[in-house]
Amino acid sequence: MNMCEYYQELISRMLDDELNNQERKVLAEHLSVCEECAAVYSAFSMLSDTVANDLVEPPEELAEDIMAHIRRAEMRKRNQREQRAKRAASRQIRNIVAAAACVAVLVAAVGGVSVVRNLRRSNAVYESRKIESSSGTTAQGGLVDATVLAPTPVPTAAPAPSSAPVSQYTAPAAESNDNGGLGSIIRSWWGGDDGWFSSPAPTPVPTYSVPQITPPGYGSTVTPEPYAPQVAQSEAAPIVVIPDTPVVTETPVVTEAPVVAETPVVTETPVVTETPVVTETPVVTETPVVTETPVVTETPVVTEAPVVTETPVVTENPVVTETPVVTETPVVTETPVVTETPVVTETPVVTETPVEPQLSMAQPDTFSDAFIPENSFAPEGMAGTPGMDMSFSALPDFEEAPADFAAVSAVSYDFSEQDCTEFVNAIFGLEEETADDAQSVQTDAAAAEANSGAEQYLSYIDKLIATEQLVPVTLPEELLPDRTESLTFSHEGFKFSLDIRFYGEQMCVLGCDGQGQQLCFMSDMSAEEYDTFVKDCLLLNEVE
Amino acid sequence: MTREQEAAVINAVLDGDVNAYEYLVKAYEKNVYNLALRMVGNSEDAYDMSQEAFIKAYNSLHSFRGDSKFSVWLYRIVSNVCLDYLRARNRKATVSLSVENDDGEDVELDIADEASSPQALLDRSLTRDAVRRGLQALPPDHREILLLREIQGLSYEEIADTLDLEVGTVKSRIFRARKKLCAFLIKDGNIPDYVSSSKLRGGDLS
Repeated sequence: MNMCEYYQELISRMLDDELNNQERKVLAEHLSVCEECAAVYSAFSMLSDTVANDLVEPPEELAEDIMAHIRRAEMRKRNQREQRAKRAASRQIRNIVAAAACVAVLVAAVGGVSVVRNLRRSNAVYESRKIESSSGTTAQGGLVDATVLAPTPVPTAAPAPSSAPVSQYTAPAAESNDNGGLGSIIRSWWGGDDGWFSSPAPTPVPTYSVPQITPPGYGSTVTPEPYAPQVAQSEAAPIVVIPDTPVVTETPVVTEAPVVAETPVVTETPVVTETPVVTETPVVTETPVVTETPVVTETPVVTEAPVVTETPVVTENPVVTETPVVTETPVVTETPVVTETPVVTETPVVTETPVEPQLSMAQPDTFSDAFIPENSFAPEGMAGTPGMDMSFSALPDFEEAPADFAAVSAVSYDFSEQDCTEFVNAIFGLEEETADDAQSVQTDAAAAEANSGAEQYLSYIDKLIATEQLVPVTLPEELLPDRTESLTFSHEGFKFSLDIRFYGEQMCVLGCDGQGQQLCFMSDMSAEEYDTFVKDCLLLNEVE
Repeated sequence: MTREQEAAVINAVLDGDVNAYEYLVKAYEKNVYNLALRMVGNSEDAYDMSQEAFIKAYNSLHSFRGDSKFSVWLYRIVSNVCLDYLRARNRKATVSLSVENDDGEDVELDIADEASSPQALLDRSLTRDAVRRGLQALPPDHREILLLREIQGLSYEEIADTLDLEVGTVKSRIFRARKKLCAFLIKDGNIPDYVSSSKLRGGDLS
């Protein structure tokens, strides 16, 4: 680097204001004597000025475009963040739902345990041949479970001594009450509630109770009684049952039975009818007191037996019809007499007889019979007649009952928070329009002096029947349901209950029409679909 | 805009106020655009480079520590964007201009030929166009450092920070850039009379 180059570099730095005073002085002295460096200074100055001043205005849209681009990018980022947040939230919700489902499963499991217990109890009941009557009552005009004697007398048909064992199979008392076995068919609309389809309130735990017939017609109150463990012992042969009989005795309820007598009992009478056994006991007949007691009380167990034996007596059934004896129930008061049940003890005799036929006839209500007489659709309260159950339990075939039958039939659900209309529409696959129709019907009904939600609903049901949207059917007598369930729901503040029965995949619903006659309707819903449906409903309701 | 104001605006942007960034864009768009224009040589690319530089600056704002002026930090981004572009771009047809490098060797200057048409030269200010073309003929690193100094007015120290160079290197590189630009103008015959000595006219600018 020669000296000029050194000074030219100083020139460059001077233009950039990067020289100190000393350097400036030296450069100035050199430029005054060096033409070439002076020219360089001029050239660099010109270039700097030219470059520095050669600024152009940027396009007007530059800043706008930049900001628009940035805002779009920000919006995208924000959306992405929101989406991620939503996804995270949905994941959380799913987790919560899953957790809730787990809890529900646990709860159900716990409930299942209780069901199993109930099962065992019901089995015990089975064995003990005790009748249990379910009770369900709503706070207001609520449903009340009561056992009422079937109004219609059982066919007098002579019992066939050699009836199939199946027919002998007796439904556990628990079933008839809680689950609505065939016996439960008898359960019907509870007059007090004005309900449509009514069934005995679910009684998870088979309790030993005797219906207490209140006012004539519908409306009987069931008085649940503690179940007697003794039943368990009866597992063996019906004979064993006999010893259980005492249990029956326990059933002061039985005592109540007399009450039944008071009641339009007549209706229920059928059950009593079963009692023909009683009839058998001439003594009974004679002794009004006895009559009461023996009859129903032990009925089931003994009854059956006797029946068999005395089959002929059965023939006398008519006598049974005479149940009026029962009517004399006043004796009932004497209930203690019932305690005398020991009579039952006599049952041994029964053992002798294999009178199943009578069972079917005498106790059409009985689930075991699978016999569903036309009259079976009786007002609620008919099912679970003590006497009935007892006589059935006496059947030797009892042990052949499905192991899980009691458990299944003990299942009952409370959908009292749901509207009956919706429920029925769902079960029968009725269209939404129907619901609207229901509304109009209700409105009309109200206008036509329908004074309760129940009546309005009955009008709705009647209309469905009239328009053949619901077609009543009669179940085959020998048809034994695979399982039964009892559902409770409400309408316009009134509670109702329905009995659901399954015959294979076929589902039937039992209930009453506007006239209080119990009917059976076939649902297009399969058992599997029903289970799914109920499970869905259970998500919002409590399982009893 | 003072450094305090800059800092306030930057904080606002970092706090999510997108609109605040517009203040910075408005304040520096001219310098950025001109820097890009001189770097890439045409307004269209300069526009794109300016936009890209501002967006990069926005996305990287969180990394701005405030040790230097925002403008310095921003120009570095512009320079890098333009250099990346220039590297990636397959330059169009060029004419060669041999220029002696620092080591005394002849080095070819790349000159865009699009502005070399006589008619275009006539249409513009001879000197200005000559300077522009001279800038485009300079090696990118020389052009970049010269523009940072001449257009952005950065000090040597700031340029050193921006380009991550030693201050001494900045001094010498700026000087060489100016010498090359003068050499280009002399050879191109566009050195004004008032700045040219007999020696310069003779191209003796070594």
